[in-house]
Amino acid sequence: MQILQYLINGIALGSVYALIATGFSLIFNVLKFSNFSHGALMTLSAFSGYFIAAGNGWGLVPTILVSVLTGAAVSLFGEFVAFRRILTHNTSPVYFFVSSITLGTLYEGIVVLKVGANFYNYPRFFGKPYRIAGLFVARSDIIIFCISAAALLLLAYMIRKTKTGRALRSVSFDRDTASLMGINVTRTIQFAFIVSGALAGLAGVFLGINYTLYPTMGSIVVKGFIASVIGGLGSLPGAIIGAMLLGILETTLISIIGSGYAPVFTFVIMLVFLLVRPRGIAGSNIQEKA
Amino acid sequence: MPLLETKDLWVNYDFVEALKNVSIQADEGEIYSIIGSNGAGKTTLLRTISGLVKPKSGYVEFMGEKLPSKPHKIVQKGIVHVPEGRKTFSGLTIEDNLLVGAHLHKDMEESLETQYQCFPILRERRHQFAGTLSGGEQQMLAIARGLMSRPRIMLLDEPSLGLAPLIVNEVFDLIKRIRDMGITIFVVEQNARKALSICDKACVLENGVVTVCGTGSDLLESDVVRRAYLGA
Ligand SMILES: Nc1ncnc2c1ncn2[C@@H]1O[C@H](COP(=O)(O)OP(=O)(O)O)[C@@H](O)[C@H]1O
Ligand SMILES: [Mg+2]
Repeated sequence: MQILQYLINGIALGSVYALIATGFSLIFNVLKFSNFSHGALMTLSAFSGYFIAAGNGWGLVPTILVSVLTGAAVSLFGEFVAFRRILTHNTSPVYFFVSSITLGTLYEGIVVLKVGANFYNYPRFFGKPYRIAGLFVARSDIIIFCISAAALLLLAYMIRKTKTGRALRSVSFDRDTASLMGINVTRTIQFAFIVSGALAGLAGVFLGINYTLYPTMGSIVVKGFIASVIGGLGSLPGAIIGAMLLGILETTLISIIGSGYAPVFTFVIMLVFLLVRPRGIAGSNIQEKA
Repeated sequence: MPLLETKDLWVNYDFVEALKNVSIQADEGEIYSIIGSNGAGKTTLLRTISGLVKPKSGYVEFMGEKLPSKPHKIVQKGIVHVPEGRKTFSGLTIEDNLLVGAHLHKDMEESLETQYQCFPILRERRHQFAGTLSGGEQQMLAIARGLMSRPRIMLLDEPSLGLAPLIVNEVFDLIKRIRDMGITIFVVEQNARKALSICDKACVLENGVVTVCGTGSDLLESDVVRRAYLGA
């Protein structure tokens, strides 16, 4: 029974990691670089949800919408100012590293300017947890899980079945050849940034709902990176599975050995995992291309 | 008026002059071929026409109009480029590869059916990754993918590269069939004998300069070409 309770507690956290991991993997897939501004983008979006919506007494849905739209818009802006020229000139990936870190620092700086080092909380959107067969299920967890699952299913459908998704996949294989097929590569990359930013915004709101809002909350994306590595870098289903496992592992460890030791053990388990299976769970075929 | 014309093209990579003053004209409905050895600038010429490389000076005209600069806009005009080394999307299925080729069109199903009729092997294996195909099959896929855009002219970069002689013959037969469908062919090749034997007109490219032009049979008989490119 206790195990079941840990599982339930871990699912919401796992969903948030999954949103982070897929948003991060999406850009990694298309551009083959790690976007280290992803976490700060999440923070910025969550705070704009607070200041524009939740803080003014607006409800859950407007708060989510504001955060998601902010994430999408800022991500699009970031692509233009920080990555566009590096992309068109095909320069070294080191520049992506530098620009994404710089961009992240900028976003975080903007948040600090507004809030200082203070912690903020969204108003309580939800009532008491449900009690089902002796298990506690938080209402927020149900909402978080359902919306995340819906968003990820939509993403999977878009990538696998639509024309835009096919364009995205071909651009991620070979930009030049994709352009020879009539695909507007710049638009396609912009689209990837919009989706990735929207996912960051959604993850930000959910983190804010279940925990608190603070300027360095973006550092949690490290967990998303880990999840996407466990899953097999570049594989979206892998990232989702990795995120769920990580979320459940973490909440279980916290309940068993306390929040002091839990992160240490989590990271040790991750490192062992990567030692044993460096390709990750999905061991993607995307890597083989080169 | 020629269908495709390059006017005084000069193309540089950092320190290399890859094309020097290249002016050529391909007419509608013909197979036009450029032959030349490795490094002559053949790929550069095709990449310049399809917009992947920007010339330092000179320009390309298609149906009497200057081409736009972005590759995806150039495809819209009816020019499709089947790149060197096939460049199929190895991790996409064969069907997705074909559908990507039809990116600019709405009624993809119809074009898909046409290609499947033309290439039954692609239909059989449509749900497999393109990376699982043999070299010859990948070349077929790359050409079929190109046809999905319903081009007026197809640019082919060394379609025979790395293929067994029997398969090379198949590919060149296919090229003739495409020409007979009314699609102009612009093919660059190191395999001079093969290219000259099927083309209507051809030019020789040497170190970025066009040296000789003529009909395919003229060049096959020319002493200079025979010595340099046909090993005779
Ligand atoms: N991306 C590039 N950067 C620098 N030099 C290049 C590049 N691509 C081709 N070259 C040079 O340009 C010349 C022409 O190359 P290319 O067009 O590929 O010839 P071909 O297709 O006839 O073998 C060669 O000297 C080659 O080394
Ligand atoms: Mg070449």
